[in-house]
Amino acid sequence: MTSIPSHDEDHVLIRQIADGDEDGFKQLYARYGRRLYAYALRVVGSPAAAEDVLQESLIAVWQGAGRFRGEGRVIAWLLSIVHHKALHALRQKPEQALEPLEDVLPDGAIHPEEKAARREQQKLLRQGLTELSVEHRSVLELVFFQGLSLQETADVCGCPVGTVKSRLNYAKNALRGELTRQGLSAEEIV
Amino acid sequence: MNDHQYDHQDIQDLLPFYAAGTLAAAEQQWVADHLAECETCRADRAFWGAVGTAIEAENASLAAPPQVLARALTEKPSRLTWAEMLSTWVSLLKTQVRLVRAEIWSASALVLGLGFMVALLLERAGFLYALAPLVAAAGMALIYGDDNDPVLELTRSTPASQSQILLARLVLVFGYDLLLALVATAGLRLFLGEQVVLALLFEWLAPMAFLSSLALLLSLVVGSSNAITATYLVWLGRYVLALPELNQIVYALSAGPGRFWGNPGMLLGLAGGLLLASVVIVRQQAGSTLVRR
Repeated sequence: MTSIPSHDEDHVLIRQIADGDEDGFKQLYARYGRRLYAYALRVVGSPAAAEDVLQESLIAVWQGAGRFRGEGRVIAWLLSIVHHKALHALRQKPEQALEPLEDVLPDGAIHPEEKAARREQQKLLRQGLTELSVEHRSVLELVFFQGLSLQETADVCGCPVGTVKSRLNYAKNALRGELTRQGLSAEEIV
Repeated sequence: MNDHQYDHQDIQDLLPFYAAGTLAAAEQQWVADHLAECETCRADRAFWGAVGTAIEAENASLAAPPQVLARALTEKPSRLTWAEMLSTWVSLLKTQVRLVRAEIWSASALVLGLGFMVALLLERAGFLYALAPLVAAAGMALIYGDDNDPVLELTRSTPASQSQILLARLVLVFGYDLLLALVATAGLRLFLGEQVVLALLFEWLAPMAFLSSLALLLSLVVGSSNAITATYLVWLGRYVLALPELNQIVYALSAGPGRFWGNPGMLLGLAGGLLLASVVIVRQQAGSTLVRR
């Protein structure tokens, strides 16, 4: 999980952006740009579409910073903007969601020091992740990569907390099912 | 929350967040204690750890595209034009249509439709005029708050402010009820020959605005159900106090209920004041959410 910057520093940055401070905007992007891009990419599925989503989200941040009332963490607010922009993009061009993620990801992401069984499991898990729906994949991203709490995840997705729990449970069963189908035994599926 | 409130399923729900390292210290300890005793949860915790590792690995080589920042900086908005402001509000209204409780639309239409039919059958337009403010007040009591908005937490994290969201919903629901009442009044004019303009001003428009604003304000303070009950009682009081016997007593004590409800200027002024108070309360509530967190 990515390290979490100070809550207060983020709110100061948002106030600076609300005043039109470009340096504040650059700092915010340096702090969260990678996470926001990663999330957009996981939802829309292609780098070009993810860049468009990120671009629209940043403009929304420019426009909305003055109205941000400091409710909750800034990253949750930013992700909620990206989430909605990304879903909107999917509705406009639904075929983008079908693009396989592995085509746009480098091979070097697999840790070479993992043992053989773990490497195989990781490979299959990544394959399984690409086959999850946007709803289930986005919840996993928000929890494991973005480091959001249960409530924050629900807020970003715009669904009740119970729905987040059920999506996590579904994703777990789907991923395990995928590993089983690929021939991993129960012992190998940790 | 104490340890005894966590059962196996609760721990299962917490395991992804435990694996991600985002639980509060106390919850983390409860999960750790449970893991020491539960083999199923230990396996699930390891599985979630592997999922987290896979997701981290997938994202490891990603970097924020610098060209996006460069483009965003060139598109830094100066001031919104009128067209952009209008577009923003239209977009907000479209979003809020989906978030307002769905039953408001059908219930308002059904009740006013029923009132229209009864007024026609009885040839008493006053029946509809008595009903219209109640329908609008009930709708306004249900437009905002945790009880009425399953995704209020989401709306609190969107760029639109809470007062903008409140006003957008007010425009939608009040506008809808106003339209329904106008259509019904026009229908009565057609069939019963009522003086539409006079009826509109004195019988229901001003009282509708006042009761609706009162219901909205009360719903923010004491909840939707209490707000509906209170505003219904206020409206009922108009008719009870209009009884000849009571009216004499009330006139002796005050300016009289007839003068209050028959003064559209004052009612609309009060409605505006109550609405302003509602906006202030919503802003304060939004601020207190930050404090609670």
